[in-house]
Amino acid sequence: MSADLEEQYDKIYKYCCLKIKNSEKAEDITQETFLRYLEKPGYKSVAERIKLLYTIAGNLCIDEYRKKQTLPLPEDLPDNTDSEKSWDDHIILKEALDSLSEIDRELVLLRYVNEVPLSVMCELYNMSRFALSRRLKKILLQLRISFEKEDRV
Amino acid sequence: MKQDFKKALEDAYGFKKPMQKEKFFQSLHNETQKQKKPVPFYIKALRYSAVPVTAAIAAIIFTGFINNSNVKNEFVSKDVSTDYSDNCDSENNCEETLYDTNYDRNYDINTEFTSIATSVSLAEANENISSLSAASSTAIYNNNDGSPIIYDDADTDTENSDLQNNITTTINTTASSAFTTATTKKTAVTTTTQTAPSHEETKPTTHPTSNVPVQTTTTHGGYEPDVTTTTHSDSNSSDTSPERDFRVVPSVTYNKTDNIIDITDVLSQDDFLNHTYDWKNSAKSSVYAVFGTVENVYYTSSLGVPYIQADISVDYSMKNDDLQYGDKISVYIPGGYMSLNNFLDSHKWFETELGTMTDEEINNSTVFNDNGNAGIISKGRKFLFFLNDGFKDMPDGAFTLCHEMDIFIKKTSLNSITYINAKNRNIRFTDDEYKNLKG
Repeated sequence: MSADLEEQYDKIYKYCCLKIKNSEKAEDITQETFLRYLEKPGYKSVAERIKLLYTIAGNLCIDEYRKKQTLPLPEDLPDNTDSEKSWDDHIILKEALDSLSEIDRELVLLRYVNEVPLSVMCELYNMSRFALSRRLKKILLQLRISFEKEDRV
Repeated sequence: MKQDFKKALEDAYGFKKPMQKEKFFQSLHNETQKQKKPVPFYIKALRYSAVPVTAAIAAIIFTGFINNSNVKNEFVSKDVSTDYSDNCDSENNCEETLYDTNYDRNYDINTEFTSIATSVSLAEANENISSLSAASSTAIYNNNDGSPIIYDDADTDTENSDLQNNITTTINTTASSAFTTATTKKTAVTTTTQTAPSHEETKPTTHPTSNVPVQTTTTHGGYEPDVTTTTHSDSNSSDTSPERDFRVVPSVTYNKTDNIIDITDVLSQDDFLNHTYDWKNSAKSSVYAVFGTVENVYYTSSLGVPYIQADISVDYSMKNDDLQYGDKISVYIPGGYMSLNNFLDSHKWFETELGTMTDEEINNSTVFNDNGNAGIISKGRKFLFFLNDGFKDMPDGAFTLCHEMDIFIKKTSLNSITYINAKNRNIRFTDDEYKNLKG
C-alpha cells in the first residue's frame, strides 16, 4: 500500500476521534471508511478523493453518534511532553481548544493538523472560500487570546 | 513555525495512536496478493468449458426433445391406433410400442415426457460432457471440416491474469495514486507558471530607461488615479552607467488604505507547493542567481493579483556573468497590496464575498496577500534571489522569482557562507553545497 494512503489513514483517524471521542470506535470507522473508499470508482482529482474520504468518514461518524451509547471515559493525555513549560503550554492550548465550538474544533483540525485543502473544506462545509478563511482567522485569534490570557495568569 | 503549531495542536487534541493500522494495511495487501494468485489449470479449463458445455446440454435437450421417437410418440392420443408406422416421421426409426388402451387421459403426460426426455438427453449429454472434458485440454470446437480448433490456453492464461492484474492494479493504482498525483500535478503547475517563457535570452533585456518619458499611474484605493509623467533618469540617481540599469517602471502602484481585506487564503494554492519546495530545483532551473540590496519597494500588480516590485542593486551573481556588481534590476515578487477595485476587475466572483459593502467602502479598500513576502522585502535588506525573466504581463525587462520561496538571507560565519530561506529557516544551504550542485 502506498505511503499516501497510510498518511490519510492517520488523518481520517484523528477526524473520527474528534467526532466520536472514542479511539477504538474511531479506528473501526476509519477502516470502514477506507474499505468503502476503495470500492468507489476512481476519481481523477486529489481534491475529490480527499472530499470522498471525509464525506464517508463523516457519515459513518453520524451513524455511530446516533446509536445510543454511554459517555466515553476521557482519553488519556499523550505522554510525549518533554518539559514542564511545554506541558503547561499544552494544557493551555487544550483548554483554548475546548473553549471552541464543535465545528470550530473540526475546522482547526482539518485545516492546521490534517492540512486539508481549503477548496475541499469549502465543499465539505458548504462555505465560500472567503467565509471559511475569515472564520479560520477568527478562530486563530480566539485561540491566541485564550493562550495569552492564560499565559498572563 | 507552522509545523510547531501543528505539533502543538496535535498534542493538545490528545489523539491516541491508531493500534490496528499496520494490521489493516497488511490484510488489504494480502487480499490484493490473493487476487493475483494464479488459478490452477483445471479450474481454468472448467471455467472456459462451462459455456460451451452448457450450450451443448441445452442443444442436446432441445434436439432430444424434437427427435426422440419415444418422446414424440407420447403426444399420440389414445384414439390413434397402435400401428405407429402411420404416425411416425419417415426419418424416425419408430419402434413398435403398444400403448396401454387404458391409458388415463388425465395423467400428466408432460411430466412423463419430460422425465423420459431428460433421462434420454442426459445420458447422451453425459457422454458428451465426458468427451468434451477429455477434449477440453486440446480442443473444444471443431472446424467445419471436423478438424479441431486448437484452443490456446496460454493466451487465455495471460489475458485472464492480466485482467485480474489490471483489476487489482487499478485498485492499487487508484488507491495509491490518489495522493501522489498531486505531486506531479502541482509540480507541473509550479514549473509551468514559474518558468518564464523567454529563456532563450541569456542576457537581460536592455530596458530603454534613459531619458524616455514614462507615465506612472498611481491609484489610491480606487480613487481617480494620479497620472504623472516622469523620466526614468530623473529617479535614477545611481552612478552606474545607464546601460546597466535594467529597472522597469511599474504600470501601476498602490498605497495601503485603512480598510484592508486579507485575501491570502483566497489566493494560496494550498500549502502543498510550499511543502514540496526544494531549493535545488530553483538553483538548477533559474536563469539567474543574484545577491543584492533592496533599494526600492513598490506595491503593484500583475496578472490581476498583488505583486511587490523590488528594485535591487546587484552585489554579485552566483550563476553567470549576465548580471554583475552594480547592475540595477527590478524583481517581481508575489505578495503585497493592491486596490480592491483593481482586484475585482480580474476576480468578479469576489464581489459576492463583499456582502453589503458600499461603493465608497469598496473604493477605499485594499486587498492584501499576506504570503510573508511583504514583511520580508524592505529597503536596505540584502537577499539572494533565484530569478527568471518576467512574465508577459510584467513590464518588459522585469525579473521574477523562480519560485515564491526563492528568497534567502546570507549568514557568514568563520569558515562558510550559509543561505537561509527567508520564510522557512529550516531550508538552507552553504556556498559549497551550491557550488557542488552546479558541478
